[in-house]
Amino acid sequence: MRVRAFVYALLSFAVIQFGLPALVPPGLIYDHRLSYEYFRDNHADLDLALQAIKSHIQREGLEDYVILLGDSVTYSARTSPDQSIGAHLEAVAAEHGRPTHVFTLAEPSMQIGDTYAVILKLRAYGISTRHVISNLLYGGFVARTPFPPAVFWLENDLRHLDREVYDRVRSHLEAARLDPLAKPPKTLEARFDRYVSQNVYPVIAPLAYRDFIRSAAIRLVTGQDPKAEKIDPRPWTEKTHLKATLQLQEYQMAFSDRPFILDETNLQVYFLERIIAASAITTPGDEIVFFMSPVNQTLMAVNVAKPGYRENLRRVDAWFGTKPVTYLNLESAIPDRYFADHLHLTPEGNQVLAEILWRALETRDHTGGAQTSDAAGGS
Amino acid sequence: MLFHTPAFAALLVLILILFHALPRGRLWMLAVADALFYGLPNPAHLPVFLAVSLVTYYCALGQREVTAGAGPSEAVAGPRTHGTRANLLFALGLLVNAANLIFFKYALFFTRSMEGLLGVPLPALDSVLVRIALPVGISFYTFQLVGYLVDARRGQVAPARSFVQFWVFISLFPKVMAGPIARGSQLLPQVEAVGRLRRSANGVSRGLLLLLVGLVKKVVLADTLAPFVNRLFAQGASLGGVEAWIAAYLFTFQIYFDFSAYSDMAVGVGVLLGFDLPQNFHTPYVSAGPGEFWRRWHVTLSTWIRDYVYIPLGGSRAGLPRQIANLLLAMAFSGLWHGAAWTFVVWGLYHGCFSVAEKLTQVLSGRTGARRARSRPEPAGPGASARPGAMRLLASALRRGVAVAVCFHVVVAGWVLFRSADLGTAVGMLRQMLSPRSFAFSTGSLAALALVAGFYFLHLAEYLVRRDGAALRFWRTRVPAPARGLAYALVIALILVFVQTERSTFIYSRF
Repeated sequence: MRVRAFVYALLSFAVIQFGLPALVPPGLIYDHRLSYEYFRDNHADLDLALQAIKSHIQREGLEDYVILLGDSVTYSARTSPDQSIGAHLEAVAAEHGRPTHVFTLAEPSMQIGDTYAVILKLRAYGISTRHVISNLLYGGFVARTPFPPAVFWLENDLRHLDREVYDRVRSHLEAARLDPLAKPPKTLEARFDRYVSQNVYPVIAPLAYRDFIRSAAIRLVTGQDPKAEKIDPRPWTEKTHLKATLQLQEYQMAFSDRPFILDETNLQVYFLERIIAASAITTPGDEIVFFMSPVNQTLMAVNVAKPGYRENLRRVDAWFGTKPVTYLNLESAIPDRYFADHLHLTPEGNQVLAEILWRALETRDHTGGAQTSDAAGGS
Repeated sequence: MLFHTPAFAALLVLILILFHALPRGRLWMLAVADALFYGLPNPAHLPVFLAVSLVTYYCALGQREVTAGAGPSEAVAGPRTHGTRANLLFALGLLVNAANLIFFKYALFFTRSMEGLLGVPLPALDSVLVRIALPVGISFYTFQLVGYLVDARRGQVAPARSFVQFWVFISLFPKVMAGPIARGSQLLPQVEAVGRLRRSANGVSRGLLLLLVGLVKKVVLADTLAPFVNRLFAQGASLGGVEAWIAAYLFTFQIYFDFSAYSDMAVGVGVLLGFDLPQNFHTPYVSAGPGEFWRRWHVTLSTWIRDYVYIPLGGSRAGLPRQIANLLLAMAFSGLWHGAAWTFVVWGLYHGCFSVAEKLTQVLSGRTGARRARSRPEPAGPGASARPGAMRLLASALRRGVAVAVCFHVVVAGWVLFRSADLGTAVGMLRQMLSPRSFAFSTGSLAALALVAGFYFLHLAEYLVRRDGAALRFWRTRVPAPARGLAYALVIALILVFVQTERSTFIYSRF
């Protein structure tokens, strides 16, 4: 009798294992973006978002869609998901009579190495990278000290997906590792637990989906969302602390006016080369649109006025001019009133940026080639 | 190593396979497993644990040999040990254990208390002591070692025949971190007969069920409550009256689910191996008074305090005033055992006061009852003065219900002392809880109180299920196997869903 119950328990668990992914609404995982609250605590949730996106694409038979990559700028960290750049880009496309799905896979603090890892993951999931837009930060080209690490979140994924590239940057990552979750555990027990959580948990459905189911259950019982995003879409002029905060070393470093070294010793350049190469090799004709993130020209006036800073931007423009990609320098393309701080935009700012990006996509599709432009004057 | 981690699951499966496949090698295998279980997460603390165990083993053995003149193999439970050398060995064993516990757990507390008392700060000493990490389970193994030493002196336990047996008894991995605090007379004979321990179908089923129940309590309930409790207690005295009660109620259930989960899993793992470990909890929040509460909450600690502190102090043998003092001392000691902070001492004294109040009520009601009995006329015939049976039952149930509610709330208020960061915060929270002016109900607070009521009903359900085996018998014999299988799978899925990404420890493993 007990053996029978055990067998039925195994069978029931198998049903749960295969049935659960179909039972979890995709909107619970991906709603215009994967909430940073989930991603920060469990990077494996990115795979669930990719699965949700893939299901969406297959279900609706989508062929023409846009993938947004990058960091907190593209993620639209100060605004809600429905006010994000991705949401606005969909709206703008619909207004122009070309309804297009936009999938945002950017996450705060993602570095260029993370973007490369996400592109490799997209390929692994069979999701097209024909229309990919990624933001870049000026600070990404600044020499790393070794902080921030060139791969902030997805080191483990990079190790699995491109061992050669991982080995090339490994020593840098070890020197610059900031994420405590990424630090190698000290004891044998902790190493074992970490191995299991990274390699076994993602394949057991109740464990893989646990973050989303648990949050939904807590929301149902307590009425409180344990993973509610902390957003603040107010314009920067209402945030009195900003000026003082931006004087901190970590912010000032990101606007350094020291001359950029634009060869492969610069990991930003190294990963950009890898991204461009991967794009060209896999599907000829694929292109990635990179844009230099807009900067609040008033709030960062001292920094952006420095000749070294401006010269560095010109050199980045020139570097992209030699590459088969579309590059938009939007560093001063957005009026200051649309900023929530020095980099992130208000909901209206997201809309303005979405319109610029849409125009770039339209132009590229019509001209069918790479371009490099300083969009500042066009905005 | 924590029960709800992959490493423990892997180690447990390996040990169970080897344990039941190789009966002859069980003792040594358990000895190694215990060392691994304890030493893998904290390699530096294993030698200390081994050294203290070794000293205690030889002290217990030595004092028996001195008195009885018997070799270790002939040692049996018998008369009390006496003699200067036996006393010295006993004192040495106690001293080593006390020193170990005081050094790791209380050195900083005592130093800071003395600094505060004398007004002389010793920052250099503080900076050294603050870096000393507390070995996991030190309070539990120290009490086991001391209990064993005293039992051996009293002749209540025959000293272990070999250090390996003794080590397995002291460090048995299911209970080493947070109890139950096992007695030598209870567990040593099982260790000595470990090669002959047999598992039964009933045992496997009971062991797995206890493991499942423990995992649900820990992973689904306690760990889910933890962030809410932490958030509320972080606000401390700034909470309103209703929020402070909610914080206290939630912690009441968090600590019960957390600690009883560990005990359930410890007993469950013991059962899977063939050991019979004592139950530590008997649904304590259905208690009608402090005495009953301590017979239901952390039973093995309560009985340890009773046998090795309260009774040696004189217990109830030297008159009421002395008994009251002994009760307060024993409870303060129990509080201090939980943690090196004044909040724990005050928590112990708080419970001591309620135990004293119960004792005084019993004494007074005993005297009043005797006077009433003397002054009451004899009934005219059988049943003449008796109220109808149903009414008596109802009155008795009502009395018990009120007593349970009062006792529960006394315990809940006590947990504020236990959980608060400092006494000031605890007093501030208690003041809010007792001040009707600070009460303001909102939709959120009503929902939280409904949740608390739900937890209490869950506790009552556990009480009813554990009271007799009827519910479990019904489950096993009347519920069809497919329904049981589905239920087990759903419970396992639920546990997996609630497993925390970050590692959560058991509250009592920090003591």
